[in-house]
Amino acid sequence: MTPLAQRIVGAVHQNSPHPYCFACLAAQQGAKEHDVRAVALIAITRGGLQLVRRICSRCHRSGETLAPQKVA
Amino acid sequence: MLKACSGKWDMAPEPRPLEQSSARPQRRRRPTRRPPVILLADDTTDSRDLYAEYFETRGFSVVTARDGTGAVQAALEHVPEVIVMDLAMPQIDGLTAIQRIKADARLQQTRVIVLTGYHFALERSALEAGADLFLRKPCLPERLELHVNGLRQEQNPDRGTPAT
Repeated sequence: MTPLAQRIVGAVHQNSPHPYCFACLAAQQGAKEHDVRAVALIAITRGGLQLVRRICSRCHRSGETLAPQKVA
Repeated sequence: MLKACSGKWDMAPEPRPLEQSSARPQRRRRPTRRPPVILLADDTTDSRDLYAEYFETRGFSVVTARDGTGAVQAALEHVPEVIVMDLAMPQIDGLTAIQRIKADARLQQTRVIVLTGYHFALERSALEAGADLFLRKPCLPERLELHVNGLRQEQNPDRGTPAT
């Protein structure tokens, strides 16, 4: 995993249960949105995250967000 | 051991009489289906490898490229059915690569999916460059496969999923 992907995984866990959209997650991390989106697949498959449709806790827009996978 | 290697075994079998061979129904060999070729062009190594691994397990023949120039070269060499193209890549970007690919007569049937982290504002430019579909990252491999097979079936309704 790239350092940005690792940061995203950490941030999503830290923000949980408050989901951030990709734009707000990128702003929070001081990164560009397209860079966050580019590493999101690896964060999902190797970082234990999932893609869910939620309302962003920051900008209150509805859209795809990253969230920790639920452990059964 | 030595007996098995003696003259009798080395001789070619005698041809069967014509009557006997014609009376027997001949087995028709099933035509071997060549796996569909997919080109994955992305400068993000992890994503490229992940998609490549997934599509290989799903029965595709996968070709990868890490930049725009490599994507054009690989497309001309392998003539893939579908190309999944990132936009932000070194050397030449995805849009220019698509234009060069679509300019070649051999690649007119090739379908192009743009998969990018950039905003949908670029969708129009991508479609004008010759892309067939614009998807935004992240896209799970299963979902990408649905789009890939959808485009393949649009092109030829007989084409199913290669794994089935």
